[in-house]
Amino acid sequence: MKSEDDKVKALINEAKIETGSGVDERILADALSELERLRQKRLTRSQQNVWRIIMKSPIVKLAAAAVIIVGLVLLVSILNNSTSPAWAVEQTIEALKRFNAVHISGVVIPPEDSLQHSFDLWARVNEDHTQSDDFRIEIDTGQISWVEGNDTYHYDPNQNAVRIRRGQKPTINPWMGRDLLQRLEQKTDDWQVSYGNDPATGRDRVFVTCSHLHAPGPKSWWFEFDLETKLPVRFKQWDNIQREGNPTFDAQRIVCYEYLPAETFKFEIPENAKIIEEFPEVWDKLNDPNTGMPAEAMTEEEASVEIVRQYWRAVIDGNWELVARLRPIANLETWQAKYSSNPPGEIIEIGKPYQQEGCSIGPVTPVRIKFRDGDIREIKIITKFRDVNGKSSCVIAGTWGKE
Amino acid sequence: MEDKLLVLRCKRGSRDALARIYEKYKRDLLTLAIALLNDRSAAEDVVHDVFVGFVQAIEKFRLTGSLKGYLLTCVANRARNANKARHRHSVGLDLPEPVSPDADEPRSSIVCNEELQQLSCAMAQLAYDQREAIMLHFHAAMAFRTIATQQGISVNTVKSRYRYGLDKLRLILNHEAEK
Repeated sequence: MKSEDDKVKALINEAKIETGSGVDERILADALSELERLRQKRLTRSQQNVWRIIMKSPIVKLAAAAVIIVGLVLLVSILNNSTSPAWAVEQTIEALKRFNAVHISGVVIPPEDSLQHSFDLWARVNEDHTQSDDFRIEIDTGQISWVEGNDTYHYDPNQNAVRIRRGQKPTINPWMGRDLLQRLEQKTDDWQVSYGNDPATGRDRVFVTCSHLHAPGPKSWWFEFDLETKLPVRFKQWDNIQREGNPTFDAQRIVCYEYLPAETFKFEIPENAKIIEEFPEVWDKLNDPNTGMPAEAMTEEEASVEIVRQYWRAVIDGNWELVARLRPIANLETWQAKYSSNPPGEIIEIGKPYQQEGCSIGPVTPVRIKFRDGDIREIKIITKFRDVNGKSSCVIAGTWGKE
Repeated sequence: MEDKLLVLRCKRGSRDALARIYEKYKRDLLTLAIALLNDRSAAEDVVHDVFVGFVQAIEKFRLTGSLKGYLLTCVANRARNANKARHRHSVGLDLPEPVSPDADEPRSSIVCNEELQQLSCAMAQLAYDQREAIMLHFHAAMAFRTIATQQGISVNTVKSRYRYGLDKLRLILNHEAEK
């Protein structure tokens, strides 16, 4: 029987085809013209986006309003020269809500490097407004890092190589907004607000200084906000609490955008660049046959729902051994501590797994959990369906968004 | 990795990358389409639609497995639809153009070697589902589980289609050999 199978297999392998130029021309020409059509569409969209960005930019709005403001400011300053400007962090938090992206240019002194490097960074916030999603940074050495899905791409022009770090994604976390500013105001030791002017433009500015001894390590900060727009315009960080010496991070220009096109975060890899793929240690854990749940005779969807059910059942029952096996990357102690004060009590509903754009590991399964305090939260679990040593199994790789 | 890079370049509008993907996989795709449909013209249409469709979806496309596997699956799906449509529209006499020697074919056509012609003719005598199971398993090197998942059927159904199809194919080929 085996040899007969081999005979059929050999016949299939021997089956060969040649295409004439007409066939190639028809298929390839249509595909190429479709590619060109998409390119043109993207170009038009990008140009429109750039125009929209310019029109919506706070700088343009400020410039347009400048004529009126100049008159008002002059009048106000003549009538009441002693009025002190007022600013509260809540105003900046409110103002930042409208903005979804940021461009920061400045200088950075890496800890292991005494040389100062200038950089340009673009970032776009995620849907929940909690941390950055798209991210791209360019350093004066020519090195460029950007994020695609959950992977980080790092291009080094000196080596003409692209390193792809799988499952590693740099983020601005927390995003500039309530999480960051309120935390700084409440947790730092010496939050101080002062007022002044930008010597270059004469615009009213708010300066905030603060520090923390364990942030981790001693850190101090200096922020500059525009009094009128309430938006941050500059920011510095020192690795000491006295703001002594040169800052290790100096964001000299911060421009907030309501929108930045996806193209801003992309990079065209040079044709002959060497590609080096790197997998983090967690990848090994995700592919460890001793972890996860057997999923023989299950579809990916069935396995995802089942493992999410088993995982939350284990968390509710306090079966931490099973939790660790189903979700091997998670730090068990962290989860135990997280759930100890308000443990989950009931699985309300497990939704249908779906493919989440930007999540390359596997499907995302939403689950609604009721906690002891009565709070019901939706948590999106990322699962990975795998074939290890010829056996199908499924493992929890993490969560999509906040848990 | 090369495929990922080609897809990445394609996403950024590289014509060269698209041409390289086409050159790399066109024979595999056409072979599968011909074996499934036993009709060169329909096979060419299927591969054409797959490539144009691939470009149309390129912006949102994410390569998670092998590009060859993905394209072959697309061909199998479109071939299945083409087969269904053919059965809906045919009135019995409108048989597909069988794969035949190509000596007189113009230069622009698809040229099949003897093995492919033999395979295609033999395959045409099998039920479509059996053809599909054999070709996806042998030619596309897909696991039964993968085929089952993609078609929304059980693994056992795929295995039995494959086994019955293979038995019949063997009989047909042996019979041909005896003649």
